Amino acid sequence: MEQNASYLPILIQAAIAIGFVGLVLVLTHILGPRRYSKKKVENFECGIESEGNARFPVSVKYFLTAILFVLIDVEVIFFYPYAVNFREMGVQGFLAVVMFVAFFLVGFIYIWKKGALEWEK
Amino acid sequence: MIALVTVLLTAIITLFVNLVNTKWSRPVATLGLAVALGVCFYDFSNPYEDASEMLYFSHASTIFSGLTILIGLILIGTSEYSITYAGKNRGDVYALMLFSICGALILFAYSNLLMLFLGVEILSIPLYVLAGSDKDNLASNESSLKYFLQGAFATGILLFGIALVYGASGSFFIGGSKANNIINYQLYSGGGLTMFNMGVFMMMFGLAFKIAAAPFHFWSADVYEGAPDLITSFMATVVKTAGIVAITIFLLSIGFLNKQWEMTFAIMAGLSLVVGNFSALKQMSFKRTLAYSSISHAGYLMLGITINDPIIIPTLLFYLLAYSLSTLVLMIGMSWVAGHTGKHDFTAFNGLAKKHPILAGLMAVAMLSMAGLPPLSGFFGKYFIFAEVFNQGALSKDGGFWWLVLVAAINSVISIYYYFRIIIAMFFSPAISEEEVPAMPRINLFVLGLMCLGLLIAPLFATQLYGLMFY
Repeated sequence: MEQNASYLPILIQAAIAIGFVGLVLVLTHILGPRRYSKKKVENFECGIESEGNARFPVSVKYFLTAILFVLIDVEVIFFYPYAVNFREMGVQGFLAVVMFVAFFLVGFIYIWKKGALEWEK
Repeated sequence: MIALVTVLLTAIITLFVNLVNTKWSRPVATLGLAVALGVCFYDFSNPYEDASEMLYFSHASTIFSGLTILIGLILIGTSEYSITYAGKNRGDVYALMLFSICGALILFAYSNLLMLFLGVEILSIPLYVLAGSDKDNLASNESSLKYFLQGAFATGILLFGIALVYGASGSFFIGGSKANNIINYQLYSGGGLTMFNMGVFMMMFGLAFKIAAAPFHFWSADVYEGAPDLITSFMATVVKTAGIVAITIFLLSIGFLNKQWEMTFAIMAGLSLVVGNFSALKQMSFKRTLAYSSISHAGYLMLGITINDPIIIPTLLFYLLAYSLSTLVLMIGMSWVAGHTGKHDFTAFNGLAKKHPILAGLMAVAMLSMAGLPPLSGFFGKYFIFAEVFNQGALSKDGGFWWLVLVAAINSVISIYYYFRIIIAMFFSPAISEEEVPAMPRINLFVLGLMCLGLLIAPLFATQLYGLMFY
């Protein structure tokens, strides 16, 4: 029983959290003013008028480029912790990072030679 | 370790050679694997650790590495015609196979759960791509997607299990020699046994998926059937070997805790045998039959794991050797016939013995070995496992798993039915196939012949093989 009681505050907190969210959602729905205009219901408000449907087939080349970009991006992310620990890790750490970059370079040369980066093909 | 690096470098070199000239990729990959096989023998010295003590290269791991590299060598070496579907990308297919072998080599030597996860991933991710490497074939795409979706979940559950084991024990290291391994922490901490067992259960889920043991076998038939023949034979041999060895290493390392897993494994082994064999009985496609038969072979191997003693490792090696060799002979033969008739059905083999008696004879020998008829290796592989389980049962109070051996023996008899269907088709059915199957190249026939010879004489060297493992 003692064990169950200790979880009661959490239950109350959860109930308050959910209740508050629900209450606010309902209240804004009832009380909030509503004005629908063309500008308001547009997908993007960036100044340029939107054109056509957003759901049209996109060339698979974008996908390939995006995936390749993610790889290089992740490589760069690994440099941040290394840059912080540059001095501590010494020569061995440097060699490890050089090996890591070399692996990436091999992969990069491969996709380059394979023609994955050529847009017009 | 040197073999691992050799295979990795071979993969990278193959990738680039393929860019220069597609025709060179197969010789380069074959040569690299031959070098790696040589390195394996050279490496057969005292056991040593590497990669921050996360890999432990024992004699057993070196021998299993040799077996896997040999399988890769045979597959890639004889793949001149079975690779043609890949066109200009055949070097990429070879390179992915080699990367996958790297994963298998890690799984043979891991002594850290992180390495287990990395090995499983390096083994699987190239396979997801390879299963779909026949890009214009819808079945190949389907098999790739099915394998990827289910495999990703299985690996996720494996990783979750590793996290739970780490949470319960505070260590990733396995194996008896290290002070900070998972068992010692488990002992000191006292509690957390439930969490530990839950973790082991989830890890077994992930690993049993990889070897296609029932009840985690649902992916295998569709994936094996849809994937290109070359990749199917790779999955049926290399992946099965790597998965079984990974499970064995892990279960042996958790020692006494393993006791409560014996019954689980016994039931899984029995299920795999029954499900695999009875599903295979009614198949029309030879390739699908082989997929179900590989499930039942996972059952025999798991029967061996129930023994919970390192003595089983050489027995598993012998069984895997026999199973891999006969699977390779059958798959390479099937790939040749199916490549020219366009069918994987049993009817595609009708009357093969009349036109190509040598090929049909070799495939029949492999089939008999699979079915477990003496004096072939398949029989002795099964016999050794049954004998070990019986011995272990005689030592224990409750008789061990003698009932499971009975189930396995009965299933072994049942399996003869569908293994003999192909022999009947080849030798006793008149040819109805319109497509003419040309004669297999001499060199490939020679390799198949060598493998069948290996199936015949391997039992003679079983004692030496056992001696090597405990060298």
